[in-house]
Amino acid sequence: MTSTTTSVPTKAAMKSPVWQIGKVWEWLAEPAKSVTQPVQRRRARLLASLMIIFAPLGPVGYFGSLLAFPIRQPLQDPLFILTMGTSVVLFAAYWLSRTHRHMWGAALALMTISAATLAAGAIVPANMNTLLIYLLVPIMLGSMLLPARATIALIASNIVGILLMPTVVPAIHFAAVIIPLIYTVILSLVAVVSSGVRAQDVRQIEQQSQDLAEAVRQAEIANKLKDQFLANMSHELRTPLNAIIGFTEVMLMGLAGELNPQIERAAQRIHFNSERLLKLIDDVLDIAKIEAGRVEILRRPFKPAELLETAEMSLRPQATKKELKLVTMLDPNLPKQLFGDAKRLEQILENLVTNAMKFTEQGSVTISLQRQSVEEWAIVVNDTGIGIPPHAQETIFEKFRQIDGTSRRAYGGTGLGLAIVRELSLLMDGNVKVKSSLGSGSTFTVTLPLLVPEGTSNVWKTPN
Amino acid sequence: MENSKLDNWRVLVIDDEPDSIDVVTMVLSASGATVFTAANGQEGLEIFKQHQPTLILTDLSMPEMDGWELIREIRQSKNGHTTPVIALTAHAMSGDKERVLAGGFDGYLSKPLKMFTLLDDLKSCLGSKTPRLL
Repeated sequence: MTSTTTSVPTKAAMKSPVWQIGKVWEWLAEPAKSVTQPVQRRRARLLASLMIIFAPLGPVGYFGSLLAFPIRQPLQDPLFILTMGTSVVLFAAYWLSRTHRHMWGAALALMTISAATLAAGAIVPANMNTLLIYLLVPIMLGSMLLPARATIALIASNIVGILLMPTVVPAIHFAAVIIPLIYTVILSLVAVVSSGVRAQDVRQIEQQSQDLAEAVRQAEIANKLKDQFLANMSHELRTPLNAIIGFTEVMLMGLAGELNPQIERAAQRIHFNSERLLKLIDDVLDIAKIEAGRVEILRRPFKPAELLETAEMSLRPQATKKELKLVTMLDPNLPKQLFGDAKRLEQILENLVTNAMKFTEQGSVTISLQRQSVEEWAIVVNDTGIGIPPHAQETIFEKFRQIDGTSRRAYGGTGLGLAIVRELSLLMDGNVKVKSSLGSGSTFTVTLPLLVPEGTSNVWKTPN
Repeated sequence: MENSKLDNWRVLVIDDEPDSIDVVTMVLSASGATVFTAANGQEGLEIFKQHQPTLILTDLSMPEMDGWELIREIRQSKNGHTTPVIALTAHAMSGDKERVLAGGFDGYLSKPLKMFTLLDDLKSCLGSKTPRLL
């Protein structure tokens, strides 16, 4: 798990010099790649930033004070050596902060600051009280940069250091260290408690983000399982159907011997019904795939004329059987070639026409492919059937919905055909609408964006 | 359908479902083809080597050796790179066909197969490879 968050600055902000400094600083404080835990990365980055500020601070301050109180030979001044030495160690801590040993860097830096402060107190006993207050700095930083135990160890060593001062430096009286000691103890308590609270917060946030990641992973697994289940289901349902449809067809072909009329009729019914079952399985799986977001709409060149022809060929037998006229019309304004998913468009057409024929007892069903505007074309299926009452014109596109329960028994069908049409239309960035009045037929219009392959003509004469 | 239509066809049908084999065999033999059958890829490969069929129809998911491994084996064996192999599969999810063709098969028919049009479907799968069989 990586935790690098990339903020996206606005274009104006990117140009501003402030942002550039931020960028450079970020680069200077970037933790090592091997440090992956968010808490560790935060600590390493904080340490690097602090060291960039602290390491040059001593020498700058020392030379600044030289301007005020010139000393002839700084090289012989123990304070100068102490300041420079501390600075070198802090630069080393900076270097460590950029590696996976950043924790050692923090310990080294804070121990050094503490030791240097105590040493400065020893060198200038007169200022000791003021100097020892600086011990609070490493303690505060320790609570941010170090694990709790290391912070406590640092505090303990500082207290021991303060207590040893009067023994090591005879000029210092024990009473002089009482005040810094009290400060140190009080602030240490505050630091330890606050870091404990913060650690708990961090743990909680981390636990939450882990839970979240786990939930996402589980959802991904569930989705994969669902896909697998769909694929298996499709396979397992088709295998027995292959035998049922296959053997029935073999019988009807006469390959299993002569059939007497009754058996032939029975075989035909088996055949008809197994085809129906197959269609249902296909529809259910299609809806499931659409809902799982697993249907891809292709964008390939296809010829509208061919689409119309294919659909007509597959639908003609149904029309003949019901003695309906099947009329096809192709708008001359439609480009010869379009971009789209011909198979899915065929499915839309088939579902619309099958639906139209189901509710049409006599007359005709007309399929037309029309240009609607410069940017749109449409599949229009019109019938002379019973029509759809206004209250049902929206709900017919819902799954498993037909006008009412009785119509399902009267007209058959799965109630999925129009739902699939609507879902596919939406996936193709189009929509489906119905116009109908009871007794005078219905018109379904699927409007789709008109996409033309490059290099094909897209001339459109405005209709008069 | 005339019985003499497939007289020269020597078809190997491979499927772990006996019913799937039977139904295809009935249609093919009725048309005059010689049919060999196998219940998995391993058996199929042996029969292929022994009898050199002119056309192979194979299921994809089978125990022992599946259709994918079978096609690799066949393409590597003697005469195997020219023998047409058609996948018959109940996997009808989108993308399956493309995967099959990319896997080295010459064609793809999805189950349930249409027995009425099986021969025509096979021929349209084979395309230009059909005449060699006749």
